[in-house]
Amino acid sequence: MWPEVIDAMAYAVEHKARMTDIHDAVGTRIAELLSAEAAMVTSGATGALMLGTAACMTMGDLEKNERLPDTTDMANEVIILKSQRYLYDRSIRAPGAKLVEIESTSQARDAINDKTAMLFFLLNRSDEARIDVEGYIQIAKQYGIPILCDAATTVPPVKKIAETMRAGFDLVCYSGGKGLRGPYSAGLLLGRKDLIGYARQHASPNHRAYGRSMKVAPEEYLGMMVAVETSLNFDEEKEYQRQLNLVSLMGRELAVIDGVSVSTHVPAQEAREPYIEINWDERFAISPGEVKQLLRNGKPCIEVRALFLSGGKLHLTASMLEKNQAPVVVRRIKEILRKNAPNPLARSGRA
Amino acid sequence: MTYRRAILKSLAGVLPFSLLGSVSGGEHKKPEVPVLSPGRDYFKELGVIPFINAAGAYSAYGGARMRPEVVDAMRYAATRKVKMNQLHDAVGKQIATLVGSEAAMVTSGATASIVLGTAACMTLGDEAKMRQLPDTAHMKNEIIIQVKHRYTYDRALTVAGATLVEVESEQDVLDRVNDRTAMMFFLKPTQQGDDIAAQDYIALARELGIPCFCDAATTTPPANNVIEGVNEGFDLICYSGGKGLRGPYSAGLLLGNKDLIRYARRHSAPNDLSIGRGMKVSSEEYLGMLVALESSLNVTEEEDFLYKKQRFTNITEQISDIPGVTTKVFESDSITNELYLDIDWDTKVVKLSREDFIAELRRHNPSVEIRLLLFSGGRIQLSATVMADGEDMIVGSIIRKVLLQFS
Repeated sequence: MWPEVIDAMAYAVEHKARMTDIHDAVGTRIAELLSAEAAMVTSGATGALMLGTAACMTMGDLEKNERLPDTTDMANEVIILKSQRYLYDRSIRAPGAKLVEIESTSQARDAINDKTAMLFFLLNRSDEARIDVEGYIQIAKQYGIPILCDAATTVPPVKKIAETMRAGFDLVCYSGGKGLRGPYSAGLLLGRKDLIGYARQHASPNHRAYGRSMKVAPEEYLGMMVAVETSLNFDEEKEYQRQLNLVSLMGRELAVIDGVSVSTHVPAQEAREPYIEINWDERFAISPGEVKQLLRNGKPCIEVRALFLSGGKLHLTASMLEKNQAPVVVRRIKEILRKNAPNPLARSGRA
Repeated sequence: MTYRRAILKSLAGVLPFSLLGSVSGGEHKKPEVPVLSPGRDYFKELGVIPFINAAGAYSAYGGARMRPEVVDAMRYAATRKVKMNQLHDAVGKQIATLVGSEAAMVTSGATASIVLGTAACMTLGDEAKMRQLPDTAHMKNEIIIQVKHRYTYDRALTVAGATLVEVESEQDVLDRVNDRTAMMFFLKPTQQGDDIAAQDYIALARELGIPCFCDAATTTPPANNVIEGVNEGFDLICYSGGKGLRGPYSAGLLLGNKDLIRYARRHSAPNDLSIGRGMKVSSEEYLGMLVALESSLNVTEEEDFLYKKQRFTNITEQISDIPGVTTKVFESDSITNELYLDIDWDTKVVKLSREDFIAELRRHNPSVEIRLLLFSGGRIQLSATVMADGEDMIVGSIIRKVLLQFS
């Protein structure tokens, strides 16, 4: 979290105001900052996804609100591209929606019927180049069906949010505790004023709301707002350079080991987070998984990117790394690799 | 205030990044982003009217006032990184030891405890079923509930996909329990009482082999009630964290059977198998909840009452000389041993209705909220639970001003 966020949270702990008053004001301010018509703070991107889906199914009908997740006799189908099925589509189903898979955006037209509540789109996937996003949004507009976009992993850069809002999605979800460096259990739902209003009906602190359990604290309302402000004020280019320099430096240090090669990467699609990939030849008696495990169990405990996200390779990023932590990480990896090096010279630490 | 200053002090000079100018580019007009300064008055900036809470720890009013040591614990967690599941394991273990339960978990509030506990009882760790929720076809999905225990928050029982089956007697339970019964629900306390008392209900559940869940969210303070609640023998029991226990606003407890707690955790964040991923709990909240419980258990009821009575005295001393006005401190008759200050006046002397009195306090600057007439049975009542140091004096002077104005 930004220091400013912690400060804002401390303020909200001290000062009491009505929850709805805070949420109204914070929502207005965030919407203004991010070029959205309206905004609400949720308990995370998943919370935003659940409340947004619920809103599209019930559209402000209080009787329907009360019935969720029983969606008999209401529009409960959510159209999703087969290639965009992912871990968190689980949460679209949580309030009672059913997923209807399509192979390409043009098929959305045929899939739409009386039961269609929402079109879903996952932003920043590797398949994006092959998808006609504009056409998909147009279909939604043409049939008057809300289109929700999960953009949770697209910040930084935070500037991209305003751009995404202009693309024409009716609702967009963001994670608060990740790229925006806001409170851990906070997220954002941005978009059409009427839909945000319906989503708020489903949210805490409303007593009988479907989402009453996804509570958001006053600290989190204010912390989220300040996280957005601070992120907008922050020089992203400079931070990007810092991370790039740090991972490159680490890469150079690690590449001195005989048989170890390091390459630096900058992903074009996902959040712009530079990383290094560390490879070693097959004569080393250790796998990336084992290195990851040893790093995790060592002192201090070091976490690297999950192997399923890195294609089984060892990846290092620097977004969460402070300058003084980098040498420690390098030292630990060197120790582990050298211990398992084929060359006795390397093992002795002289290579 | 001291916390705020301490945090600013600790951050001075270690700001990791410089905060430069405004955001560049973009053809759209950027709203002006204020210069970030540590002394910001956010509510003033936002036009949010703060108020003094003499009403009590209600969710809509932002819950309880956290104890300083809870805020400290949260700051500790906010500035250190640890794996969420590991932290939750450790905190859960510690909480279980403190209250004498087999296992414990921290949730995003009492409502989340109900949703997750219900989900656990319906799926009992079966992964396919967990993935299937809220569709409950081919699984146990009925919850037995006493008609007298129907309440606002029973909505949470159906969020995971369950349906409610109402009962009014032990015979009803025997008649209605079947293969699809997932859980027997119990609420305490209720204004209407129970048709089946807790001990009989638990015994019945045990005999039938059905998990028995108790919502005891509002039964603190005193925190000792948590230990007593656990002792009663429910398989699961839940508490609100941000109210009587003075923990984090969006935190709660689920206590009880080891297996059921394990299942409930698999339904909740950061795990993503089931319906509870949206009910996120931060590391600050895990630790804050633990410390809140520790502190609350260390405060005896006498100390708590003494403290609150002093606050009420500070208020009554300012209004007792006004003709026609009477005051009385009393203990609520529910299981929650909460103290209230009851203020009454002869409307022939002070020409002001109860409703108008509340409206006057609300309109005042600073604004004051007292217990809603709905909860107080139409009487004027104040709670000292959430008031900060010094706020009692302010409340006393405002009430004096309002009463005199209509005398």
